Amino acid sequence: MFIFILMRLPLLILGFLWATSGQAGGLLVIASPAVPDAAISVKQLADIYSLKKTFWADSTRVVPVNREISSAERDNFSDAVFNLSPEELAEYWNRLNFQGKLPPLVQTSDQAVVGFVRSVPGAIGYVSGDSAPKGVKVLLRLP
Amino acid sequence: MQRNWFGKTIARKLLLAFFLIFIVTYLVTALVVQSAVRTSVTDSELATLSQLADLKLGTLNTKFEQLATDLRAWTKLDVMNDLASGDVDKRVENTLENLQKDYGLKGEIYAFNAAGHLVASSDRQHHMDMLPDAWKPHEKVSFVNKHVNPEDGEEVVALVAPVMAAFSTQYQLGTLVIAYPWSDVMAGLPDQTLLLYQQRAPIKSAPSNPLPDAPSDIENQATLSIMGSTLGTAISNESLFELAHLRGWIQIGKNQYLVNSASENSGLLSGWEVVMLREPEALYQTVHMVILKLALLGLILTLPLIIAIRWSASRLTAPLRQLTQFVSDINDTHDLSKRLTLHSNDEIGILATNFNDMTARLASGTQAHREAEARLRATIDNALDAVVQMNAEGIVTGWNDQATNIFGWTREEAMGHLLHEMIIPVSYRESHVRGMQHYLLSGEGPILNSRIEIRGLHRAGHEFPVELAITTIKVENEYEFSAFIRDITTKKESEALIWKQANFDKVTDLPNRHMFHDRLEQEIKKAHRAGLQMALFFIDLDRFKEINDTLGHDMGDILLMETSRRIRSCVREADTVARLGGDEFTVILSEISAANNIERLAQTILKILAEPFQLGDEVVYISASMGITLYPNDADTVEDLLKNADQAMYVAKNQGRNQCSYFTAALQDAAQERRHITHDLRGALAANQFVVYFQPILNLATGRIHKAEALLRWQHPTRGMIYPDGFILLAEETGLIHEMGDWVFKEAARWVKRWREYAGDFQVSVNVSPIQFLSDELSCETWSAHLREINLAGESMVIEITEGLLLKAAGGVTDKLLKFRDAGIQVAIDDFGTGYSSLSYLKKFDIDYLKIDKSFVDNIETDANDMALSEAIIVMAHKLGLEVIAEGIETAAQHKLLAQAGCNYGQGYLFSKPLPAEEFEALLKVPMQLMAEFVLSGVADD
Repeated sequence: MFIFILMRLPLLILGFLWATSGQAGGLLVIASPAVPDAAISVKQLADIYSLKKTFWADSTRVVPVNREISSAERDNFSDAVFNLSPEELAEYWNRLNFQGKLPPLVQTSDQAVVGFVRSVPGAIGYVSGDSAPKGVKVLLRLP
Repeated sequence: MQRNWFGKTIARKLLLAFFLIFIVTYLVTALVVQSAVRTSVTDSELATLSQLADLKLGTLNTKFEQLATDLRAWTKLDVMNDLASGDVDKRVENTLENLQKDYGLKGEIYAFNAAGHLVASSDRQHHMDMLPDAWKPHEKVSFVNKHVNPEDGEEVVALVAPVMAAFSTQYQLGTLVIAYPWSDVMAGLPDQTLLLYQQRAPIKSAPSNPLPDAPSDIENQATLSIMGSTLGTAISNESLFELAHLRGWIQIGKNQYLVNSASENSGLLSGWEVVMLREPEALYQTVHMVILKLALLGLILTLPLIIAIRWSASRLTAPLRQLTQFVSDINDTHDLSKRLTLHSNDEIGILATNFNDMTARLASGTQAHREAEARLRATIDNALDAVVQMNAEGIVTGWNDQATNIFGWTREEAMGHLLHEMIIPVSYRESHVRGMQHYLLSGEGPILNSRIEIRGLHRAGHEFPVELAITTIKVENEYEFSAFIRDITTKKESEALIWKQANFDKVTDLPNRHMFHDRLEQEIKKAHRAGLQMALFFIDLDRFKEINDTLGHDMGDILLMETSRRIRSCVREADTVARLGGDEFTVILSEISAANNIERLAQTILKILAEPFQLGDEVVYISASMGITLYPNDADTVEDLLKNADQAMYVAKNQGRNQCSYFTAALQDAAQERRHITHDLRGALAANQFVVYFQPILNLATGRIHKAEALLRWQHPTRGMIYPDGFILLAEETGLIHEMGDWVFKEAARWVKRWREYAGDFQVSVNVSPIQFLSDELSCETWSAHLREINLAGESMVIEITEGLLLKAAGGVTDKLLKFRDAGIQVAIDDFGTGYSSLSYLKKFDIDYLKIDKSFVDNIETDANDMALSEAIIVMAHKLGLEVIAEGIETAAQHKLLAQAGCNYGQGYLFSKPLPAEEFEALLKVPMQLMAEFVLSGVADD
């Protein structure tokens, strides 16, 4: 079962990336100012949210923050980064959850995401909009 | 009899004692029971409190553990991630509200973010921004603490749990706190229960909020106030501190409480403690009930007990009361005949029996005492002595019949009067009173308990001698005197008479020899002390014997009386005139000064005695010879003085009488001589110094030596030959005469035995001293036994005695003479004619020979009278069947005359002087013929 999922994973990621790249309005990937990286790639972002990359360069733990499954930002984010539907991603995280890996935690608003990221070191999240909120660093803009 | 309710009777004493014992015992028991109950109630209450405290603490623990578990679960909720975002979406707040509602939680829930800001709470009304320091979790563990809610000031128990990020165990999202109301906690506890808690160490040591390391911190003020209100009294921190871990009693304010507690050592409530208090009133209801019951029981028991004790005590002491009554009766009535009947076999019974015995003895004793008293009274009344009793004041208290007899006062008159005024002569009264007072003061009385002789006073006023013995007895500390008095008038008189008889001459009333000795001794002492001279006269009347014999003893007595009167008239009162006996008088002249006084007095006495005496119708002339000796010149002892005076008197007598002679040095020498001779005489016999000489006695008719007279000679070693005249008297005085007489007899016997071989009828005559003859020591049997021993016939021996011996005719002389005759020993009368020459005794006694004294023989040639006497004697003797021996024939003429007169035998110097035995034997061997010629030639010559 695991082998099957892993075999299919690159395909999913590829499709996901594809789907989001053409989308307008965009999302800002923000992180705690303590994070050492100034910018990350989509690929790096995907690694983080697929729980493959768990530490920053300074060895602090990466704390990814998600939006609730029903939100447009998550839908956009899933599509833009993974080219997958949120439900498909949720299923993926559930499976990882069984393996003992904690899925990205959920905040239910942009303010909440910003507040969380700003206060939790190593935290990374995404919010809608173009302008960067205060107290966080923008690592990537997603279309 | 005094009666007193309290303790006077044994029954009451017993009752009181028993009752006291009961009360004490009961009280002690009650106290012990009460104490035991109290202890037991306390213990059980303490156990109850402990259990209760445990239970409550357990309940609390469970409750808080549950809450803490819930709280920890709630921190794990995903929504808690929102604490990091500040709960902008109010999800946490909603969640807390729901939880409070769902769990029915009494307190509020507070959520703080990592920075400590309050993010959400179940109470929307909160005003708290920041997490209080006290609630800050430590080491990311949950804990419980009591705290004042800073939000509203309410006292709460805070359960604190950290909210850790699910994504990182290192990351704390915030803190979740349940503030549980303290009142709710307390509401679950019973009254008078304290819940104590202890601050967790980390909090206490938190530098930001340092808290005191004791339950007295600010937080416990709540506890204090709660407890204070619960107990209704203010409680100090110290009290609180004491309460922890306390078990037992504690004083809080004015009240005492029983305290027990339970504490939690681990878990959330570690350091918490439940202290249960109990008020004593509630506690001791049980104890009070017990005491009440005991008191009631005591009361119920007391009444029958009193009755029982009263009854038994009364029963027990009934015999005692009986005894007491009995004794009182006897004491009141003095009736000792009563007897107590008491049927009891215990000690009281024995006491009663003994008491009866005692009473009986007392009764008999009293009776005996009365009888003894009566006997004593009778004895005293009939006593020969007067018995007079007197008390310490000198008043007569006893007076027997004899006292009446000798003093003249009757018993009635005497009793109650002063003794000394009645029977003590005036001159003795003062010393009597003084002596008695002295005795009463000092207890010393020299006249007590001894017999003394004093003067008594008769009622009639005359005094008389009494013998007195006084004894004292002390009766009830008072002296009593008993005097035994005897009238010794008669005794005194007879004593005086006896004394006079012993000391005075009956005839002359002069002191006798005995008295004279005493006086002389006294005078010697007196003179010795005074250094004076003293003279002793020894007066012997001349020819008194003749007067006595011729005129009779009565006349002799008159003469003696007159003599004594005359002598006394010459001397001073102080001089002693004594009669020594017979016609011997002495005069002691004391304290003389000049010798001529003595001479004058001596001459006066001689002169006055030479004056004629008128004796009845006769006028008699006598004279006196006087010896005088002086003290201390001549001698200084009674014996020597007397002897001296006696000797001097003899000198006077020898010098022709009617004169006085002084004791001289010559007399002194003679006396000395006598002493020496006496001394030598004692050893003479043993020293063989005596020799027997024999003088031949011839038959005047035939001229044959027919007999011999044994004559004793003393061959003195220094003085030469001493004749009997020189020592016989001394031998008689010293008693040596017996030994010497015996010796002479045996010596004579020895020789006569030998000489009888030449002449078969030869005889030896031995002189026997009158002293020896009269003495009991002379025994004819001894001599005759000796003769038998040497086988010699009695006829061989003749004893010569003087006629004076026969005159005395004392008892025994006749017997002795008879015994000699029976033994064949013949008897010759020596010196016949010189004495009284009574013819009667010649007839009366068995005499064999008469020896005519030399004094007759001497004169027969010249004096016709003497010749006639001699012839008469010879004739008379022959008529009476006696033979005659003439002594001292010195001339042939004498020999011739006597031979012609018919005298049988003769002895004398004409024939031979006394010869020693050997020479005599030689003479005896001369042929008879030769001797006869010699003798006859002498006759022929004349």
